[in-house]
Amino acid sequence: MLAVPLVRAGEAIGVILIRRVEVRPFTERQIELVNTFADKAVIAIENTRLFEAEQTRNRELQAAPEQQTATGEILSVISRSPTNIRPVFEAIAENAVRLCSANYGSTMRLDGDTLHVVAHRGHSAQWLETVSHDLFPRRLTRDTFAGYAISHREIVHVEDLQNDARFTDSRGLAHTLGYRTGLCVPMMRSGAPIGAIVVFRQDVRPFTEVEIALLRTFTPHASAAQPRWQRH
Amino acid sequence: MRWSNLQHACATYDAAIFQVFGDGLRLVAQYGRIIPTSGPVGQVTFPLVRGLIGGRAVIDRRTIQVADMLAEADETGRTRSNTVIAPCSPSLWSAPARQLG
Repeated sequence: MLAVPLVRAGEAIGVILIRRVEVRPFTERQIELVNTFADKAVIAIENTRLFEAEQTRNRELQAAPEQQTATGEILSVISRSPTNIRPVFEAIAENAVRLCSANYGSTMRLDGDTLHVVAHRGHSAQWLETVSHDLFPRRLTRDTFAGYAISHREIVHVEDLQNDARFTDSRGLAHTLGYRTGLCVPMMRSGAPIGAIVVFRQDVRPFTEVEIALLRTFTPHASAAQPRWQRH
Repeated sequence: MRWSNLQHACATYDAAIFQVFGDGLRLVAQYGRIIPTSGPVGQVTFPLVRGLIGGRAVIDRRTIQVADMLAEADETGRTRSNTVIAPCSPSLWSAPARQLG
C-alpha cells in the first residue's frame, strides 16, 4: 500500500492510496509517478474550488440588486402601513418566494404559544382549505417543521419533507400538499421568537447559501414591524 | 495523467483519492475497490488520524509505503483470519497504526 499526500501551499488537502494485492513494493520511479499524479490532482481540485467560488460570487452579485429591490419594497410597505403588519408580511412572503425560486411561502407570527399564518404566496385553494382553516392557528410544537425552527431559534433546511422522520406532522402535510424541500427562518426580536418565514419547493432541490442568506435579511423587517402591530 | 494510466504504470490493483474534510478524510474518487463500503463516493469518510495510513500521510505530509499490509496487520494485533477473509477490509486499510516508519 502506498499513501501519497496531496499538498497545496504546504498544506495537505488529501491523499492518494494505491494498492497491490501481492507483496511487491512500489519502485522509486513508480512512487515518483504517483507524486506527479498527486500534483496534477491538487491542481484539478484547486481549479474546481476556484470555479465554485467564482460561481458563488456570481450568484451573490446577481442576487444583490434583487435583494436591494426587495428590501426597498418591504421598507416602503412598512412606512405605508405603520399600524398593520399584514401588508408587511405579505411583501416578505412574496419576495421570499420570488427570490428563493420557491413554489410556496408563508409568514407566520407567534402569539404566546400559538402560531398564526399571516400571509402566504403560491398556495392553492386546497392549501387555504386545509391549512388556513383547519390547521391554523395552532399550538407551537417541535414535531412540526416551523415549530421546531421557532422553538430552537434556528434555521431549519429540510431536503425532502416527505421523507424526513423528524417532522411527522409536516411530513403528512407535505404529502398532501406536494411540499418537498423546505426552509424555515425564525424571526426574532430581543432574543425571543416572534414568528417565521417558510418557503417550499415542489421538487427536491435544496436552497443555496445565497438564498438562505437572502431570507435572513428579511427577518429584521418583520421584527421591526411587529411592535407596531402589537400596539394596535 | 488518468487513473488508468497510473494503474498501468504502477501495476496497482486499485486506488483511491481522499480529500481532507473537517476532521476527516472523504473518499472523492476510487479506481477498483480499495475501500469496500456501502456508501457512494463523496459520502464515505474516515477520521483523520495517524492510525490510518492515509491519515498519517496527510498529517506528516509525506509519502508512506507499507510493503506488506497483512504483516503489519498481524503486528498490530489483528487476527490473520480477519485479514485473509476480508483482504481489503477497512480494518486492514487502517492496520498499520504503530509500525509505520
